[in-house]
Amino acid sequence: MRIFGACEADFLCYNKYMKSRITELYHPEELDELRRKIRRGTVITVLIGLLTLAVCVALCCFVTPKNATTLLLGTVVASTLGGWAVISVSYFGVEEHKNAYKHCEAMLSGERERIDGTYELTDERLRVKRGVAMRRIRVDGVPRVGSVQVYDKKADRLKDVHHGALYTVYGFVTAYEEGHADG
Amino acid sequence: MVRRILSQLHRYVLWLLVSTVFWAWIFTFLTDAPQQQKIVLYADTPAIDGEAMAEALSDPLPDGIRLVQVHPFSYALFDSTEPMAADLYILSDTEIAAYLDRLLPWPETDGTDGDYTVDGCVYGRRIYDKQTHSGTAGGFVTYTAQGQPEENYYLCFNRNSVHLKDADALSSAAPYGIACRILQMP
Repeated sequence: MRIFGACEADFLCYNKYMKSRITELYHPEELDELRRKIRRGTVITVLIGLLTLAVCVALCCFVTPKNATTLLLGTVVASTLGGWAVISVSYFGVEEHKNAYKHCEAMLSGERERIDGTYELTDERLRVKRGVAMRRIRVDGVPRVGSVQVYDKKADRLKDVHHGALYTVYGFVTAYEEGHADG
Repeated sequence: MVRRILSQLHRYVLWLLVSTVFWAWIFTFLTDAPQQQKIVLYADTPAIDGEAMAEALSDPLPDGIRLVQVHPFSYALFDSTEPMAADLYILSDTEIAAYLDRLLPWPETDGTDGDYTVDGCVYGRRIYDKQTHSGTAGGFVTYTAQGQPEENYYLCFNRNSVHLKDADALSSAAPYGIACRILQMP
């Protein structure tokens, strides 16, 4: 029996004989959580930056021609390590969450498309600049093969699902619907 | 994770360079003194421990002087004007002739055999003798290098030094005091 199809008749058939359950991958609460993470990351970045600057300025206060080389070495080490920490936190703690926030916002507000068919989560990972990491999904039976992907952090949710309907926004899976025969 | 960190490698390297240059500039600014308040010696020797020598020469500092600096000529690689304003030079046989028009003669009472003399004026006091392989300030200055011919080295005054505008008062100028200390260094 053909379970899913593109036409309305098939959809009605599915409703009559199958149980369906739509699982949402994105929730509005995620935006609040991401906003909190961005704020926390920004505060940590600023604190590390200020602490590094304070240490360097303090070292400068004790400089004399005799100890200049030693203190310069210490200051460069402190400044470099502090700067690296700022770069790391701002990239992994702020930038990534900002990208995730923009992505989630777009997913929640975008217009959905439904794709029916057999699909398979691939290991192919890709990332666009200033975007989120994604995993490619191979969908059979639709003309847009290879153009469907899922946010990497939500990819595990689709690992065991192989047959059903995918709801996408801008090619990203935002929800899926599992269907199975009722007896 | 490693791959993601490596994707930011250019930022880490750039920060390392910026940080090093910036703090080096700040420290130079903090530890430097105006030309009038420092004595600067440039040495054309194969090697010199400038910091240690400057420290030895700074004890005690002459009146009105806050700082003594000792540099090899390679220190001024990117600023060739700096050695021009130095107070003292250590020059080799081959270099002293080229620098002669920039040098100020030592006071007439000074001078011994082996000094660099032109028309009866002593332009350089010999501080390393290649015949006897002996020299002053040997603990700070390396006068010989492997694979290079040995040379005599002379201690000279720069005519353009801000401390030596009055050539007649040379023996009372701060660079003269420092030069005398160098001559007495073991």
